[in-house]
Amino acid sequence: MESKLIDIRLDNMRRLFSEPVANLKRVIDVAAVGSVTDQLHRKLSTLKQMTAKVAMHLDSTWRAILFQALERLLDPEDWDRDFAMPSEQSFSTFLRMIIFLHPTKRPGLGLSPSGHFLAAWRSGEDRIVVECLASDEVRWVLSRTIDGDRESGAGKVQIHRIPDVTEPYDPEPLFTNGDKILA
Amino acid sequence: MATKYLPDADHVVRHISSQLLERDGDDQVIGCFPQAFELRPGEKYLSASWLEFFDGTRQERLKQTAAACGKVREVRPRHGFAMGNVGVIKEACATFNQKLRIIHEPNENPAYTAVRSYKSDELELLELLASEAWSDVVEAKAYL
Amino acid sequence: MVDRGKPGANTAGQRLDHGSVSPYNAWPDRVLCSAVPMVGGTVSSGSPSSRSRRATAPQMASPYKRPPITEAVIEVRLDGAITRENVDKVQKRLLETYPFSQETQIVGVEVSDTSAKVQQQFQGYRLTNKDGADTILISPSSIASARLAPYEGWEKLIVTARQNWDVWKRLIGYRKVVRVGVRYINRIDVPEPAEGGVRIADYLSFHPQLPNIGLPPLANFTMNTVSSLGKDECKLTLNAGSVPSPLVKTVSFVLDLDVSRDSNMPQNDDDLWGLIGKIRDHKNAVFEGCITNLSRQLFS
Repeated sequence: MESKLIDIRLDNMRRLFSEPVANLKRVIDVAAVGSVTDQLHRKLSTLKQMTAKVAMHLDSTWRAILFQALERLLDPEDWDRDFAMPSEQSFSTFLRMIIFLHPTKRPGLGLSPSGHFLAAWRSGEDRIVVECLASDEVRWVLSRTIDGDRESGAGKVQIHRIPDVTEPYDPEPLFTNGDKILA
Repeated sequence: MATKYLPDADHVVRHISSQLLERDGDDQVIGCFPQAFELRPGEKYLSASWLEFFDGTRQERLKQTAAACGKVREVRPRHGFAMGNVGVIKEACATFNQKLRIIHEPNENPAYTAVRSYKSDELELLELLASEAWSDVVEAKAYL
Repeated sequence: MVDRGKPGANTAGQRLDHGSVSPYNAWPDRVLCSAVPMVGGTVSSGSPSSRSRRATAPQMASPYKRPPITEAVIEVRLDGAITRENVDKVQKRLLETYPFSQETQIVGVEVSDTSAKVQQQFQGYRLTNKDGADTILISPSSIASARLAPYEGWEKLIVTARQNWDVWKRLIGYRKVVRVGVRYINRIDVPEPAEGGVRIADYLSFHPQLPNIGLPPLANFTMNTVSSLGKDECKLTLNAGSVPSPLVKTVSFVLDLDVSRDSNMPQNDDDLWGLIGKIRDHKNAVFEGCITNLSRQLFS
């Protein structure tokens, strides 16, 4: 009886580190198996489950829009076979970035041929595009017209540095949208 | 055979996969991501088509370009085409010390064009192309 | 919720120092544990302001705007095991609502001096709905309905769970219920302060007590308790601990509460689901007793 109790306790402790509490940052890209359609469906399911880990920090409307965007991006009917499968590591960086930056404007979502998620925020002709790599790393490029002159900047940084490296370009109009709450 | 460089006044059209199109909240195409102009591993030049190879109005030319592109790759309604003026594109790349050669190189696509001497290492150049020099983006469905 | 218009703002409206913490450090530099008794006793340390942050009596709060629930599960366990054929029958019916199905297996490895054998045994199915947030796990002797974040409320969960149960009963018929459980896994995400480190006692009303011999703060902790709830013949299994946070510059604690009963089980459906409702109430009371007002602010 006592050993059974110990087994139960050990099992409960192990479950503490089971799937529901797995670290979003430590995801790995799952190798491609099966037809392209099957792979895309599985990836989509995985990306939605990844979102569930942080969904309490996302606006519910935006979560629904995000899922619609993912469904379009991973639609087998539209899939470019030269593209690499979407990367879970990149998506993890994307989610962590969205929650960290707390933009009040929804980004446009895309996918690069190498499977990296792309996010774009606009204000008129001004734009910032962020390519989400693995391990919280992003490539960013920003272009703005200030006093009639076009300025641009680009770089590769960790998520937490995005506000600092973009600050010289006054990026707030790109990320904010009145009182709407994104996350 | 002499190398056929496209005139600066003419236009090149690049096929854009749906994943690289930027859309607004109403799902309307408003541009493309800079990564649409990134060379993929092993690629030595950017692929495009010569718009003025075909005759007619812009609409007619685009339809023919879409059909021609469709001979070498799959073109779906939600894909896009980005158009840019040859001279403007060359000028944009020149600001990054790149002297482009935009050459007509027909294959199964009679309007096929290679954008050579092009490097896509600089994200700012890709963004310049996507947002200004090569930024007239339309959805393919209107031309299929 | 607190104004989050500025990147990096913490819940108190102060800007976090982005440069001070390595982004690779998913674990906080320190998880501070004051010398506060774990069960009962009086609060004996911490500043007056920190003492005021602790709730001295559990409150039955109204539903939170951002409940910290990562997974909510209602499980019914039955006596004996149904056949694989019957499990497949249930799975096929549930596919209408949960179109994504995955077979689950128990994998065992037997290693001897000369060989290693891997044995896989069918365990059941895990089915999820289109948006991946509703899941049902079926096995030869149990059915569990789960909801991942975003949590949509008890009313929705219990209706779904009962519908799934009804499907099971219609296809399988009566089987003796031997256990019911309601399990809520919560994750409390605390923005990391500029000075680094988070005091467990500021967010949880219980925590490990270190000997008062000048030890450095905890790096992380894990706790597991199993006890009688003292009500409705229920048992409480509580798991808690610090976990790698899925968010940037954040410290996260898991609070996993599993309230169950496995004796004198009602066999009538209305009584069974009435009991599940009571178990949920007990779980709520435990949850409110485990958290502080600072925690409540995080999810309000």
